Amino acid sequence: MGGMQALSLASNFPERAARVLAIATSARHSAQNIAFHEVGRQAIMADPGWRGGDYYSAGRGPEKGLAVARMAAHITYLSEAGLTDKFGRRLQDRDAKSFGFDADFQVESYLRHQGIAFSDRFDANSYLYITRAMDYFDLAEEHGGRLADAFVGSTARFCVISFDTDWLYPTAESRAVVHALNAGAAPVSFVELSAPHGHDSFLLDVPALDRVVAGFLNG
Amino acid sequence: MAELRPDLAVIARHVPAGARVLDVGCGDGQLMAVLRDDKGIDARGMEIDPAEVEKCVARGLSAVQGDANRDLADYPDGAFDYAILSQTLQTAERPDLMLAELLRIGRQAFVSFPNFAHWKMRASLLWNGRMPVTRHLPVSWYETQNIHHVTVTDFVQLVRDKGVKIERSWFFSGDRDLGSAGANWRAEYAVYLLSR
Repeated sequence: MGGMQALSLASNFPERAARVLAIATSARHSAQNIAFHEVGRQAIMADPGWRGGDYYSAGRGPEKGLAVARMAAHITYLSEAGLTDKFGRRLQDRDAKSFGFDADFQVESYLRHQGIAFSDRFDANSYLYITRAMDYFDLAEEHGGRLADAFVGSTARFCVISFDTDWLYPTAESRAVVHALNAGAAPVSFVELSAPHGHDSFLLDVPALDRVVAGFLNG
Repeated sequence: MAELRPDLAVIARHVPAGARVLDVGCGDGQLMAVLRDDKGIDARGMEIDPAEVEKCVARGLSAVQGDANRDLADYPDGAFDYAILSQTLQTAERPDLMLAELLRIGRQAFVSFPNFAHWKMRASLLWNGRMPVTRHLPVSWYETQNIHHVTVTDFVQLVRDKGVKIERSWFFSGDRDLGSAGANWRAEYAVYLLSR
């Protein structure tokens, strides 16, 4: 979402943007992006604790639904190789499968923990609105369907970065942004970095990312 | 410009200040940096190797990671005054199509390439029966990126067939500027300025 905000600011306030660093992002949500978000929203709204959104006076909200939403979303931030590397099919604190619905596998336990931790610190309605805002975001649509027109009048330098294992915002989405910037003759750099962590690569230890970002900001 | 390869130095000398330039296969951005520092040109680059793109970005240059065989299609017609292709034509999947792309994107194009009819190459094939490995092209046949072995005469023929105009040409042996006499024998590499 940060990348979308960066692109949006460069488009809406060109005079305020000197350098735009768009990492692992997109100029609009794909059907797949919207689909995953919809799973999350439905999980929240299916939780009786949601109460049509009016849960603040009830003392508790749709924590279970929000946790499931986060679990689904969390998978999209990772890569298959990253998950396999981290968890494989290893079992959680046990020597044999229980043949029940406990968290037998480490990956299940990890996701459950991620979901619960998230619902402790995040408001469910905020989650609904933020995911909806991302789904509606389409920078080209705001400019007659032509993404290049979104950056007319911009004097900023752009640096667009994608990761080869990011299937949430794959390299093709970044290339579409670069293509649009090229069409407007904007100064743009683009690089696809190799990193194993999927979309989350942008916040994990990727030395090449540090070098590109430092180079772009200092260069 | 002393540190530039002679073909790049020729190109750098002949690009006028203020021109819009795309350097295809820009490597670490050496030519773009010279164009910026000496002529105030804000050039754009395309480079397939992400590590090289990284170096360009770190120099404050604008470079896009891409494969010139495919990604030149992303640029609109006439987006640049000059498209530059240095020592890359012989690695293209289809040099003829790449040439057409260069002159679609750029009003003019600088193209430099190694001349595979240089007398040392001919001698190596004739006397040793081996694919040449020279100081200028030090890589063996099985690992070289040079998949289309072009000569000065071949290139001129291609350019004529495509109706492209040769504005100027330069020929080199090592760092020495040779002039055009006997270029297909004497030149290790050539630089052409072409226009539509």
